[in-house]
Amino acid sequence: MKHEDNIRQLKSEHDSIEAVLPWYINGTLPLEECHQVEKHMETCLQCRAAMTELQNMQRAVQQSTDVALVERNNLQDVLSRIDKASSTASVARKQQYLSPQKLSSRWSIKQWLTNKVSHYWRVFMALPGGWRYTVVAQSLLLVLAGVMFTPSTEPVFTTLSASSAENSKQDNIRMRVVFAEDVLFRDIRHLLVNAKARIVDGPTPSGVYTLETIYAPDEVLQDVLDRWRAKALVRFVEPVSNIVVRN
Amino acid sequence: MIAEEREQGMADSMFGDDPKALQAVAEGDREAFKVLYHRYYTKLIRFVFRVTQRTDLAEEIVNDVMVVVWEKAATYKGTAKVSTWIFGIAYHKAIKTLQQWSRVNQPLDSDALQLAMLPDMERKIPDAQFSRDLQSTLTQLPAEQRAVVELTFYYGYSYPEIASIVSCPVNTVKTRMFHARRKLRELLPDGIEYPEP
Repeated sequence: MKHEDNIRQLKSEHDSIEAVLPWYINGTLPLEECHQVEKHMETCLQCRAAMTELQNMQRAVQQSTDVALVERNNLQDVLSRIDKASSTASVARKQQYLSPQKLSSRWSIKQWLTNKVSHYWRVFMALPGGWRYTVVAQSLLLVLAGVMFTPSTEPVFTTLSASSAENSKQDNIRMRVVFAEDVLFRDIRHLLVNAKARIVDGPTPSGVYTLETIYAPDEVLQDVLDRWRAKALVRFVEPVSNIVVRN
Repeated sequence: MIAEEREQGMADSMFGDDPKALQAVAEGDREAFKVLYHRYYTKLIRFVFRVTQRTDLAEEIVNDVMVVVWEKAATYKGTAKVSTWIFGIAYHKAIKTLQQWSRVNQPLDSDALQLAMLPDMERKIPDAQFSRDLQSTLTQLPAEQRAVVELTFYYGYSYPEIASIVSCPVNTVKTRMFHARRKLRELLPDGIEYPEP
């Protein structure tokens, strides 16, 4: 009985050693297991034969012809799919958590800003040490120059009811805008470029942007507002306390 | 082309190791994604082809894998290597695609099929061809076993890493390797001796 137990134990040890031989060969077996394998191999001819078999197997796999399937021209396709997926995910995220239209655009802007800052930070950190100092010094000089040579302009505020004749050639009107639920930041940006407008504040937690756009002297304010309200991406527009910023 | 390569090299050094690049991908950084794409594309194409034995599917599967990497980067927990995580996605995509095509375990390589069907006399293969014939025979293994063989001998993963990639217990990995070896012995010509390394 004891003899049978011994045989059973030896068989079990042999099986467990033989099972890990492939990883002994590829060099990933932990040191302790390596020692067990080496000790076992001193007396096991079957495992030595298996080693030869596995080494041939490894060689055959490694020598197999590499697959020359495709060239790397799929990146653009993948990026397009990602863009599509991202916009869908953005809408889904918004629908899941907060009702308002607001989240999507707010998230997009924050994401965009975060990406930009993090990207330029990485570019900066990747520069050699000497270059970093140069970049910092140049940035400081630019800021200093900006402070020194900026003319002191005191903004003039007037009411919208004031006649256009009182204003200069061109005024900017500020208004509060809420964009459509499924709008993307790039669409907002496109809209702003076309309408010669810019974001001066927001979005607020409720998704309200403050925009500044050109208000030509010969234009009626209501027309400007109506024009914005007619845009498909815009859900709500109102002037900011009837304030016009004169350039 | 040179400028493009230089730009790629700069981006590659900018994102450093895989976890750093994947972290940036999780934050939505497309440049980091491009770096990971270039790092893994060739490796994944080979792996997926080896598992599926289908050139027409490999490219599409790898593209799907990279889209998943982009979408799920934020879910990477760092408990395994990034490469293990990505290969895991590739493995599951490959197996799922094979199942969809209902061709799991069917030999797809025509050369290997012909080899298996040759009469015994013609199957006496000179040693010089041994390696090539063994490769052909490998293509007849089931996809799950082939994946374990590839991940072990070509990509050099440990068995716990392979268990993580294919989402199974380590003993299953060992068992798959065991069956792969036994099947190879059955498929290889009778009486042939393994040449000395």
